[in-house]
Formats: sequence, structure tokens, C-alpha cells
Amino acid sequence: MPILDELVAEAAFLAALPSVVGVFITATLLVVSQDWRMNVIALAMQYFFVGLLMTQVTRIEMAAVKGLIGWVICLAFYLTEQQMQSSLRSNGSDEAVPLRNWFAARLEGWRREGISAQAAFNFMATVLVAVTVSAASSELPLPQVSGSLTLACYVLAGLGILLIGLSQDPLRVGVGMLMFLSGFDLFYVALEPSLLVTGFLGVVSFVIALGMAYLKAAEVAYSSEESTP
Amino acid sequence: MIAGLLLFLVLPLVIGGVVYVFRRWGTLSSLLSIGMTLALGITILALPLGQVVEFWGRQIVMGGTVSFLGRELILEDVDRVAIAFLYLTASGLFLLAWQVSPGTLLFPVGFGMLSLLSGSLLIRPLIYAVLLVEIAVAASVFALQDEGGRPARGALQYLSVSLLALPGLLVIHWLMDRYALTPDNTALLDVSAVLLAFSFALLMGSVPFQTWLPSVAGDSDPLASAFLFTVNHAAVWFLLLAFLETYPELIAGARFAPYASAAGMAMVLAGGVLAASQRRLGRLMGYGAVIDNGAALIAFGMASERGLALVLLGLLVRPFGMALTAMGLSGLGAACGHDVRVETVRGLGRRFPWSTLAFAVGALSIAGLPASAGFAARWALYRLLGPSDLVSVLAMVGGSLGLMVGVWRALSALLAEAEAEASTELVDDAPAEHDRWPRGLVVGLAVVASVVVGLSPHLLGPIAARLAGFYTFLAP
Amino acid sequence: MGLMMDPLILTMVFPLLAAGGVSLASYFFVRLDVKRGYVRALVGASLIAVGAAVALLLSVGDEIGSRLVLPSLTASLLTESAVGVRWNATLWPLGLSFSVVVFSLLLAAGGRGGLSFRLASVLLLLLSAGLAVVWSASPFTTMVCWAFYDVAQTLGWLAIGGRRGQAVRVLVLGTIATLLLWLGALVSGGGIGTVQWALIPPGGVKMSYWTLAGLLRLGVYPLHLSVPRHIDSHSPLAGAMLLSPLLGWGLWSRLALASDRALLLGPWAVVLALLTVAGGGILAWTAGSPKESRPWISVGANGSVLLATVLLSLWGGGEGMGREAIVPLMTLGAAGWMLGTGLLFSGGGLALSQLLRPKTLPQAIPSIIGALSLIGAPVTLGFVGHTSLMRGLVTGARWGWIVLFSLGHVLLVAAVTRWLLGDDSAKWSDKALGHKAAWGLGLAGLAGLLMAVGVVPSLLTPGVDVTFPATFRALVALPPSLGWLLWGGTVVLGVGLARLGLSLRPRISLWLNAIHDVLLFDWAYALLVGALERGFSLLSIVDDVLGGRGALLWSCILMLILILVVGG
Repeated sequence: MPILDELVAEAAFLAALPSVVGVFITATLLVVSQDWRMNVIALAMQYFFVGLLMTQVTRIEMAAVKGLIGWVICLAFYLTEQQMQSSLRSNGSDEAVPLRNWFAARLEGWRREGISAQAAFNFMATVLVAVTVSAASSELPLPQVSGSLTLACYVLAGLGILLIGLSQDPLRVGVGMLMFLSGFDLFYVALEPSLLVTGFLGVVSFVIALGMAYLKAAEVAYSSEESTP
Repeated sequence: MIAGLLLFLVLPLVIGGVVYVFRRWGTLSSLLSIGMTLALGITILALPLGQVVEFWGRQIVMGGTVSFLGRELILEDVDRVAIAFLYLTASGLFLLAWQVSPGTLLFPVGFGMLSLLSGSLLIRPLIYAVLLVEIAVAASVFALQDEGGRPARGALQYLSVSLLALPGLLVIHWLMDRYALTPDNTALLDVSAVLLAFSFALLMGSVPFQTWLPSVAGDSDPLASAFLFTVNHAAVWFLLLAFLETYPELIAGARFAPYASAAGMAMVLAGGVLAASQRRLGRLMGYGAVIDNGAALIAFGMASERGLALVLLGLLVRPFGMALTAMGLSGLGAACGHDVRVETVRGLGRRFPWSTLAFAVGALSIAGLPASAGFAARWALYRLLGPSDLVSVLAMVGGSLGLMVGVWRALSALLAEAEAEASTELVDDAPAEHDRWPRGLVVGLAVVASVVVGLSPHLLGPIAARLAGFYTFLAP
Repeated sequence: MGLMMDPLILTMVFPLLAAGGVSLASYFFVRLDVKRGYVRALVGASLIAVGAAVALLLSVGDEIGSRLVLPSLTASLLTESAVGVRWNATLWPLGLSFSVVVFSLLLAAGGRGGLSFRLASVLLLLLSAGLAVVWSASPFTTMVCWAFYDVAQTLGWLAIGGRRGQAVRVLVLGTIATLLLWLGALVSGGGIGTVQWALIPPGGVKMSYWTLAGLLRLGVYPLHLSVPRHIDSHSPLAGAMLLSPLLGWGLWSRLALASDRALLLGPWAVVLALLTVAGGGILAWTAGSPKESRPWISVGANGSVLLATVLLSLWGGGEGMGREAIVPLMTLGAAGWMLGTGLLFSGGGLALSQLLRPKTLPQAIPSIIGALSLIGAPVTLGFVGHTSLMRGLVTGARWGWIVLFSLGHVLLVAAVTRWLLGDDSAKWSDKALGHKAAWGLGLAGLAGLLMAVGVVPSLLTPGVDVTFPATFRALVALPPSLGWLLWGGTVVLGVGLARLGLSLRPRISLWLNAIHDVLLFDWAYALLVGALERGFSLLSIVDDVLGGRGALLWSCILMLILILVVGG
């Protein structure tokens, strides 16, 4: 695929440390942020960086497939959240905001959530985990992969577990699981480059995403029923 | 000529699709599910290995090796019994589900899971088996979430924990391949053993990762939870045994035995203590599963073929207890808005005698007390383990007693006189439900089956012993 | 087929089939709108037929022979156990008495009123389970049969209108006793659980566990949780709910046989037995009505049998009845207590003026015999236990025990007298001929057996090869004069107290109720349960925290702690 090869060659400078930094930043955002739009974007970016990192250990096509799977999952999450917000609005629990005030409302929301106690705690936990995984990556390097990849794997796994543990919202837990899976996938593709394994791992990711979307829909439906007199 | 193996992988998916389409007609889809699982379970046992059988003008051959996407599917005698157990257990669960929750996603999703779990027992190498199990676990979420019910947070926990187990199991394959090349490097073996133990500890709900079992049982559809605790858990055990059969070096010298026993003891003690404090009846079932898994680990810690046979016997009798308990919870849940707690079930025993009976007998079986199906397995385990390890036996008895304390609390509430005023916890507009005779008939049959198995340990004992004989990694 | 036709199996199967038949008959006949009278007649006839069959089988005695019935399946690597029953000549009196009591109660219920189909079905289940316990061949079988009995008794508790929430007590006590039996089998190792009772080696820790299990089953005071507190049902069938100590007597008899006629008892057992006599007597006397006193009279009478057993075990008896006579003492004593309990619920309730009228004689005479047996009067089966008891008390010469027994026995006699002469709604003279016949047959069966065996004890102890007074004359000669004095004194005082109570009771009823409630110990058990629940609520909080939000993180933290602790 010459186009893909060219694209990857252009972005090759990102495939090492910058991607690791990108993974770390997106992971941090996913843990700290409560805004679903930002989370979906962050997840999509994360899959981009993970795909770039994967090019170090596997074929470009494989990395592209994984990235593609990730973006489809992001799309599924986006559509689910969008649907949930619509249903909440139709129940009257979330007021519609005119477009001209949309950005102001968003900024206000980010400000409110961004400096909330929850966000502060999440950030502190993220820092703690980041320090831990950083130490772990140097003490327990993973076989067959470079140091930067090891760090990325540990960051994704550690922050993924943190996100799973901190959340009860199905989609956020799902994001945490997908982060963890991405981290592991990044490492495992170096050990086992089989296409079938890649496919199965992709199916696992897909089913997880669908399952979380289903749980989210069920949760919203239940809370709507509870709030309806 | 059709490879029979593929039938057991593809046919359930097709049936699952059909059942999903027809689930609006609850009875039809339920009966179809019951019939097909029963037929498949009997077929895989009845069809001879390696011989061509003609069916509807088509020739089918069971057994041997079949290639699937470049990987091998191998059917052996042990796999036949294991798959038959999965299908027959599912059939029993579907039968009960027909009475309490027809038309739910349990039926179509159950078929999907059966296909995946059957594949996991057949496919080689084992990394694909692990991935298939993981997909089945992820799919189970659809069945665990009660439609219109409370959010199934337990399903989230279950999926999270299972996902954490995935990396270890996948990496073992690579490590053992390296070990085969460099047998002097025992560090690879040690790491593999640790990863194996950790991963299966997660999957089986070993302390301190046992919280997902009561969460699943407490939040989710009871019969789907029972499906998980029986069919899924059985598949996990068979996966473990497949790992050990493939890599016997992992347990060479029976170094695992004290760890397995210790883990099992921790599970039965923690499960018993926490079960005694439960006021939510669904979580009781979850802690029952913790205790039962702990007992199985203790049996496994005997590091002998007899111990393995005891593990398998425990798996064989577990569906009786889990299914009955789940059925009881489903029936009672219908009256409490699916919030089945000691406070909300007060006096319901009179209106729901069959559900109460199912819950009580099922819990009795999970605890392994006479004269239930679970008693058959526990009697054998205690008898064989008692002379050498009385402490573990006492721990298991204690665990069972703890579970019964929770059950007695629940029964006291169920049998008490109903409150004069409706509790605020009750659903205001709940119809005046009561157990109807079809449910009573099904419960009656299930109870009788449980009692018969409990009184006749030699019905399932030889099957367990024969299954254990297929594995060679343990001393006789 | 041969298995099913075995007479021993039939003694258990017949009641089971009858229970099923009664349930189905009542269910379908109601729906088919058949007249209730025809249903009753059909059910009654079936019950009599079944009762006759069981009694016949049992009365044949050891001519049935020894049978060890096992499902014939291949031996399994894991499970050498199987349910087995075996004819037991020693426990046969218990089986016979139990059957006679159950069917007499059914007949009495049919005659005097209160034949509830539901209760009748449960009673038949109880009979089947009870006989299975008696014939159980090994500890494994005994455990299984105990479980069935517990279930049947719980259903019976619900059916008689006892406090429904308290019905679980039966299951709790039963389960603990069963676990003790199981533990006893486990600690001895070597698969002793599947060994026949007759072949079990004596001694060892197992005997302690099994003795405790039997003690729980005997319902000693203050572990009397399985006694129904409030019986709403007027039916005589409710009396069968008090017969669960049969399980304890059966076990202790087996233990005595296995241990060369010795039980593992100490002075603590005497205290428990005395408490049971005294507790039963006080509760019976302070009960609100003669009807409510019946369960406690039964408890007190059972306590007397227990006391006699314990004293014989500790002090050996002497000439005429040695320590080796403990097994026939237990079986005969228990049989007398069961038959007396049966009469408690099927007779009584006669005004003094009507006691000896010809019209009421068929009701009065059996009731009087029952009352006499419960207080241990001569010429009744209750006398067998009391002779040994008197001798044991006097021989032991501990004044505290004598005083405590006397107190309990005086109150017991008073309560029995009150029951005998208390007003009851069921009147013999008001019944139709058919009903009178059924009721009379029930009463006669119980009273007849009480008297017959009281006069000729050897009727129920065939083949007993130990020194045991086989005739009435031998029994009378057993207790020393002081013992006779003690017994007679308590009887006189008891009757006097009963007479005094007629006038005194209305004035002190509040005090009596208070004493009754205090000694019932329900408040203590409620406190204990409350304390346990508080402890459990703490655990519940821990469980909610660890299993709620952040469960995975908690698990990871606990795992790290474990690694640090174990690794460190």
C-alpha cells in the first residue's frame, strides 16, 4: 500500500517518543476528563498514537487495521453517547442549548468538571500511577520490545486499570478496558504477529465496546424510568 | 462429508440467530432452545468418534482433526464429555428460564457462548482457546443485563477481571515455546507458572478478586448468572486442565498444591464469612459460587487424579444448586422489582412457595448439605481429604455454615407473616403475582432431580472419575 | 421390583404414597367440586389401611429379618457410599411407637375434628422420614434421613400455624446437629461414615461429636428451639411436631450399642436433664391455658427419660438393672414419652364432674392412662423410666438435684392434672358414631400400648440379653423406699397445686405470664441474634465497600498487601 507507506513515512518522526508522550497525554485526559466528547476525541487520538507505535514492531497494514478498529469503536461510543444525550433531553433531564451558547456552555462545563474534586483526585491518581509504571518499565522491561514501547505499554495498562477502578459508568469503564487492551496489544503483537490473533483481539475489543454501549443504554433507560413519576 | 465438529460451532450460532428473531414469542424460542441444546448435548455423546454417520442425506463424521482458519480443531473423548456437559447444563437452565424469563437475551446469547466455549475446548494452540473464552465473557454482558432492570455493574466487574487475566494466559504460550528451546532457563517456567496461577485466580474469583461473583449475582439476571457460574466456570476449568495437559512442566513436582489449597481455603473462609452477613439474596448465590470454587481448588490441591475427579464431580453437580437458586431468585424478583433483599421479600413465601422452595433447596445444594446434589460431591471430598487435611475440611464446613446463615436469614423473612402495610421498597404497581403450577412442576422436577443425585453419588461419580482419567499430568 | 417389595422399604414407602395420595385427593376433589364428606371418608379409609399395613409390618418384629438394602451399582472410585437401611431390633420399639402415635393422631383428628389434609400429608412425610431414620444403616444414611425429617418438620410447623418466621429454627438446629454428626464421621477418618452402625468401633473423638448431635436433637432445655411456641391449630396432628427427639434417642441408642452400653456423659448431662425437667414443668404450669401447656409437658416428660438415662449411665444402676440396661431404658422411655405426647394431643380436656361418667369413659380412661404415664405412675410405660430415675436420684444423693427434680416434677404433675381436667371444646358425647369409633380407636391404641408394655416391658424388648426388669413386679422392686417417697410426694403436691391453681391462677396470671416469657428464653435468643446481626452488619459494610465502587482497585491493593506479607 504505497499511500499508507508514504503517510507512515511522513509520520515516522512521531513513531517513537512523541507517540509515547501522546499516549500518556491522551490516557491522562481519559482518566481526568468527564466530558464524553473530549474522551472520544482523546481515545481516537490514542488509537492513532498506538497505531504509530505498533509500526515499530509489526507491519504497517496490521497497525492500520488496529487503528481502524479503534476508530470504529470510537464512533460507536460517540453514537451511543449522542443517543443517550438525546434521550435524556427528551426526558427533560438535560436542557437543549442553543448553538451560539454551545461553546460557552462547554467551556463552563469543562471549567466546572475540570477543577472539581473528582478531577483533582483523578489527576493525582494518574500522576501516582504514572510514576509507578515509569519505575516498573525500567525495572521490568518487556521482552522483544524497546524501552519506549515498554513505557507506553505500562502507561496504557496502568492507567486503563485506574480508569476501570475509578469509574462506574459503562462507557468510561469500557474505555479503560480498551486502553488496557491496547497496551497489551502493543506488546503482544511483537511476540505473536499472527493475523488471526490480531483478528481475535479486534473482535474482543469490538464485543467489549458493544457490550458497554448496551450497558450504557440500559442504564440510561433504567434511570429514565426511575425519574419518571 | 461434513465435519461434525464444525456443526457444534456453527449450528449454535445459527440457532441463536433464529432464537433472537423469534424471542418475541417466548415459549417458542424457549422450547426451541431447550430442544436444540438437549439434542446437541446428546448427539455429541452418542455419535461415535471417527465413524461416518448419515443424517438427512448428509454424511457427518465426528472426531479427528479439522482445520479452521488455519488452526486445528481436535475432538477427543474428554472434549466430548465436556461439551456435552456444557450443552446439557444450558438445556436445564433454558428449561428453568422458560418459566421465569422467556424471551430474554439469555437464549440467543447463550447459544453464542456455547459455540465459543465449545470452540475453546477444541481449538489448538491454546492462545485461541483463551481468546474465544474472552469473547464469550464479553458477550455474556448482554445476557447478564436484565432488560429493563437495574444496571448490571457486576457484569462490568466480571468483564474487567476477565480482561486482566487475558495477557497472562496469552504470554504463557510464548514463554513455554522459549522454554522448550532453552530448558535450562527455569525463570521462564517460574514466570509462566506465576502468570497461570494469577490468571486463573482472576477467572475463578480467588481472594482478593472474588468481588465480581457476588456483584454479578446481585445485579444481574439470576439465570444468566447461573449460566456464568456453571457453563462459563466449567469452560474455565477445562481450559486450565488443557493448559496443564499441554504444559505439564508447569506443575511438575506438585509445587502448586499448597498454593491451590491455600487459595481455596481463603475463598471458602472469606465466602462463608461474607455470605453470613448478606441481606441481598442474589449476592448469596455469588458467595456460594466463591465457596464452591474454593472447595474445588482445595480438591485440586490434593495433586492427584482422585482430587481432579473430585473437582470434576463438583462441576457436574453445581448446576443443580445454581439453577434452582437462580430460579427462586427470578420468581421472587418478579414481586420485588428485582431488588431481592431480606427487607423486600418479607412474607413472600406464602405467595411464592415454589420460588422459595427452589431458593432453599438450591442454596442447600451449593452449601453441600444433605440431601442435595451438592452433598454428593462434598461428602466424597470430605471423606477423601479428611484423613490428611482436616483443617481444610473444617474450613469448608465453616464456609457452608456461613452460607446457610445467610440463607436462614432469608428464609426467616420469606416465611414470616407478611407486613400489613406495603413496604416502601415494593413496587407500588406490582401485580398480585404468585407461583403458578407450571413453575411448580418444573421446580418440583428439579428438586427431585437434585435429591436423587444427592442420594446416589454413584450416578455422577464414575463420570467424573472417567473424565479425570483422561488427564495424565497428575499422579493417580 | 424386589427392592420395592421389601417389607422394610414398604414401612417407609406406604406413608410416602399415602402423603402423595392425600395431597392429590384434596387438590383434585376440591377442583372437581366433590363433597368434602366423601373426600374425608376416602382419605380416612386410606389412612386406616396404610396405618394398619405399617403397624402389621412393624409388629411382625424381627421376623422381617435383617435387610441391608443398597442400590446395586458399580463401585465408584470416589463414592463408595450409598443410602442403606437395615432392620434394627433394638430401635424397633421406637419405630413402632412412632407409627402408632402418628396413626392414632390421624384417627383422633378424624374423630374429634381437625383433620387438615395438608397437615395429614406432612405427618405422613414425617412418619416416612422418622422410620427411615430408625432403620438407617450408617451415619451417611442417618444424616440424609435427618435432613428429610427436618424439612418435613418445618413444613409441619408452618402447617400447624406456628410462628412462621420461627420455623427456620427447626432447620437451624437440625443443620447444626447434622453437621456435628458429619464432623464426627470425618474426624475418625477411614470412611467411617459409610460403615454400618453395628460395626462402628467404639471410642474416639467421634463419640463426643455424636453425643452432642444427639443432645441437640433431644431438645434439652435451654436448647428447646424446635418446640413450637404458639400452635394455632386445634388439630391433634400438631402433637407430631413434638416428636423430633426421636432422632436423638435413636442416635444415643446406637452410640450406646457401639460403645458397649456406655454413653459419653458427665455430671453436666445431669444438670441439663434436670433443667429440662424443671424447665418443662415450670413452662407447662405457667402456660396460659391447658392447650398451651401440652408442648411443655412433653418437654418435661422427655426430660425425665433423659434424666433416667443419664443417671443410669453415670451410676450404673445396680441389682435388677445394670448399666448395660441403658439401651432398653432409652427405647422404652422414649416410647412411653411419645405415646404420652400422643395422648396429650388426642385426649384430655374433661371436667372433673364428667371424668367417670359412662358417656365419657372412652375419652376419660385413655386420657387418665396418658396422664399417669407422663408422671411415671405404675402400670404404665412411663413407670419404666421413673423407677430407674428414682433409684438413680436417691443413689446419687445430691440434694440439689433432688430438690430441682422435685420442683420440676411437682409442676409437671400440676400441669398434667390441669390438662386432664381442663375444659376442651371437643366433647366425646357430641360426636357421631363413626367419629367416636375413629377417635376411640386412636385413644385406645395409645393407651393400650402404654398399659400393656407398662405391665410387661419385655413386649417391646424382644431378644434383649441384658439384666432388665422384664415384668411389672421387677420394676416395682427397683426403687428404694426413699425413691417411692419422693415420687409420691411430688405427685401429691402436684395434684394439690393443680387444685389450688384453679382459684389462685386468675390472681397471679400476670406473674405467671412473666415467668413463662422469661423462661422461654426467646428474649435471650433474640438478643443473641441481634448481637450477631450487628456484627454481621459490620461485615456487610466491609463487603459493600470492597465490592462496590472501586472494587478492582481494592482488590489490587489487597493483592499487593498479600504479596508484601507473604513475600516478606
